[in-house]
Amino acid sequence: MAEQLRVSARRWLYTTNHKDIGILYIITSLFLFAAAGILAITMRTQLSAPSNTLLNANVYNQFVTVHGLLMIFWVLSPLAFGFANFIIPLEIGCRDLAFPRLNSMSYWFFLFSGVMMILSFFFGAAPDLGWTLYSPQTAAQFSPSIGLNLGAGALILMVVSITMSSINFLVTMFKMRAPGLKLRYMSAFPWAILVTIFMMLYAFPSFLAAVVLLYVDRAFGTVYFSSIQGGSLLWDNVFWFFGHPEVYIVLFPAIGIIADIIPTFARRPLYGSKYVIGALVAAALISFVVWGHHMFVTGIGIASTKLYTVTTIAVSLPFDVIVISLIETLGFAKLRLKAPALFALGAVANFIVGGITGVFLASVALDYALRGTYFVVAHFHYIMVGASIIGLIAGLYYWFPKITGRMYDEKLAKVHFVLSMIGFQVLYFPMFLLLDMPRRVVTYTPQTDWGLLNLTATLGGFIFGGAQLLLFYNLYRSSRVGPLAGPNPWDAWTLEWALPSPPPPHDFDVIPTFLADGTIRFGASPGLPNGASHPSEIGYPNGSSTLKDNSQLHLEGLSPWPVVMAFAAFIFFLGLTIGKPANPQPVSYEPFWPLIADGVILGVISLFGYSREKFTVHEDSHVESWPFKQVPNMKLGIWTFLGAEVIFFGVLIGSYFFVRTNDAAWPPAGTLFDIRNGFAMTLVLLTSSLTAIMALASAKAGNRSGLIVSLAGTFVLGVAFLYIKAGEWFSLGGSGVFQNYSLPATSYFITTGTHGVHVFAGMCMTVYLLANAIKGKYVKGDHVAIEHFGLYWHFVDIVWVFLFPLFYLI
Amino acid sequence: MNTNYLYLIIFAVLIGETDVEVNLSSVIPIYNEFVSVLLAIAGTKAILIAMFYQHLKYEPKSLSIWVIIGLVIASLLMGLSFVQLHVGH
Repeated sequence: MAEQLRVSARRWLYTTNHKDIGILYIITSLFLFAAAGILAITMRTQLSAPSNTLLNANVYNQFVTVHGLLMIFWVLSPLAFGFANFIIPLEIGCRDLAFPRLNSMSYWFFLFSGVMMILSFFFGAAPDLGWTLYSPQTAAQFSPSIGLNLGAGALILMVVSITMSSINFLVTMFKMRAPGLKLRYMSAFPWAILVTIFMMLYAFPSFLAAVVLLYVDRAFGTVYFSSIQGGSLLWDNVFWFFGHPEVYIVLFPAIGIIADIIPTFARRPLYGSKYVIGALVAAALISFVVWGHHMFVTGIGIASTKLYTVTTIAVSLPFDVIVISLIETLGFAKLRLKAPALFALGAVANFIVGGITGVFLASVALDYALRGTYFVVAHFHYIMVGASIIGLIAGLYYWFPKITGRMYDEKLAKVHFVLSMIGFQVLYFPMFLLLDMPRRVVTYTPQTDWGLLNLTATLGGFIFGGAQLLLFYNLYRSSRVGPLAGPNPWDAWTLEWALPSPPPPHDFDVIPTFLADGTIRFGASPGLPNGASHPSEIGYPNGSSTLKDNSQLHLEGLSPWPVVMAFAAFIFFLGLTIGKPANPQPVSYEPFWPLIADGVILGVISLFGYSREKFTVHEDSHVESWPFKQVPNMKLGIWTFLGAEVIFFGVLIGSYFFVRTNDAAWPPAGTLFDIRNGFAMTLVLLTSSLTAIMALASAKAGNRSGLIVSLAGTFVLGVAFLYIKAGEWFSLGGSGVFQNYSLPATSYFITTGTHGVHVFAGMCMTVYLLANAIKGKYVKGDHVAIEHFGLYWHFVDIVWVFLFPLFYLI
Repeated sequence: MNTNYLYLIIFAVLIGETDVEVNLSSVIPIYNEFVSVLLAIAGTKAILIAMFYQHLKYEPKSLSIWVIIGLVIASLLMGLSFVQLHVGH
């Protein structure tokens, strides 16, 4: 028993298998769904009657905030990416994601970030300002609780997890599709995930930068959001630049699931599937230019409001295409009304209501009237819950047989559907009628006449919440005693249904091939045309003498380092955020250094272990990999990471521009920062780029001494850069110019400090490379590590190329 | 051309451009033009580094497009925020 427990714990802690990680994501997000749901039910109870005193304002605000943050960041996307982890490799015909250990690390960062967010309740108070964390209320003097710092730490960890995941999925889907599987042959769900990841990659770095700036304002007293030149408008921009794509980030996976389920149960191909994919891509692109409609009441200027009205209406058009396509798919269909289909149809109906009410808010005049009321709450819950959650539940029932190998209880699922839909409408529709009720109030007086509608909504909340207990019960019980499902209980057409349920650890005995006519071929077995009605004819699984070997190979792919590294980051950020206030006015925090030190030590150990571990990931050259055919997986991953870094630094530099152009009294060039220092640092860093590229040239030429000298030169130049930078910082500090001195000082210290951290990280890499180069590595054709380091180092150089003129010359 | 010479030439151009940046304020007295030219020079330096040191010039075009998408999105944020502050009030 103890041995079995040990093996099981080892598997789930150390797994790098995409299916295991998918299950971990799904279970964790369902637990957090329950936690966030309990917060919601408690809030609804508080609002069920006028002048209720169940919750005081302070606790109510914490519940509102954590409910929103948990649902958006720790439930909707993780549940969708639980499916993506399990299903995408099966659907595109590869055996795992491109970087299995990174995938494991993404999960553990996600888990620890969720733990950190919940922990905030136990450290004084949780974040209490709404999920939008509007400035300047988040300033330390207005919100001195360390709960908000913990929340910021949790969000940073979560964004790190999402960035790792985005890179992993992008590389996998671009580079590891089964032979012949062109992008255009992929079904709606993989497409929806691909587009979602694209938005994640470019939206979340903006949020990361925003949260970092929020944290330094609170912890180090910088003045980004407490200054008049920055303040609420700066926060609104950097937050909503991420925030609006985020709405589609949580919605698109559900749309993809629905668009796979409806054709399966209607027995018809998705009507206009190419247009649906085009609409997803169009909506994703437009989503980056609509964020200003969240700022109509902030006085952003008539030109901007016109622009954002147009773009907001424009972004609704692709969704019309998607809805029409789904409805057309149902035309003349013999629909099988199983639970996945019912939930998918329910989600479409809710989405239509939520979408149309969203278009109302594109109108500036209506937005002025409705903003901050329960109408908006109803609108976005019709999208977030009605479309996203209901759509994801459709996915849960749809893939449950594939994941567990067993069928769920259909009758119970249908009861769940009926209660969920009734509860949902009773819960949220009355909120459309609460046009004049502000959305962030803990209670209201009897004279408002809001009592009956609120009571109705609360009753709906209990029905909806209670219905979800049926879901949990059904899933738990059916996973143990449900009838066996077989490979393809739905007669579905996508590739995952050609595998046994649950699929073996290695997924495929033989990687399938997609032929030009849409046929899927497994080795010598007969092919199956896409859309054929009897996919069991595929004849899978093919007997293979290598089955056992493959299986063992994958089970050996366990790694302890991802969970250790994530835990190190967790305690590092815990130490950074649970410190005590050092100054009461303005409040600043003194980190808890022992935990930070522990985090650093554990982080170094885990990095060392991670880099030393023998963990081979095979890169197959016979796969479909347009448009990055000639780009190796790791290189594409690094470039994708640098793309996210572009947005991160873009937001930091954009914030600098924002406050700079908003401030007429900015000190002229040369008065605050010495041009000679900037010039010297630029020369040093440019020279280090030369030595870095010479290191690569030496490695390619097999010149070991040249490689060592070039790497050592890069390291020394990095030290020189940081030395000059540190000298400048101390000199400024000696003159009384600290990070909280003024907005120019704030933007200088934080932007160049962040860049300095990147330089330091690059220097750590050079130490590692240098140690290996001395041992004789990298000069026998194995120079990719030098090339990858160079990509990063030159990027850091490019950032400085912009920082130098911006901070020293203008 | 020997690639090492190419790297040295690029390095010399980067240093030369930096020198021009430092001495530019005495040549262009109008602030807005000065800032625009400085950013343009910084942009050319970034392009040189990306093309020759990061080898984008020799990579498939799809990779360059991939990088440009990130730049365009970052520019959208900066550009539209600027419009909010300074246009149409």
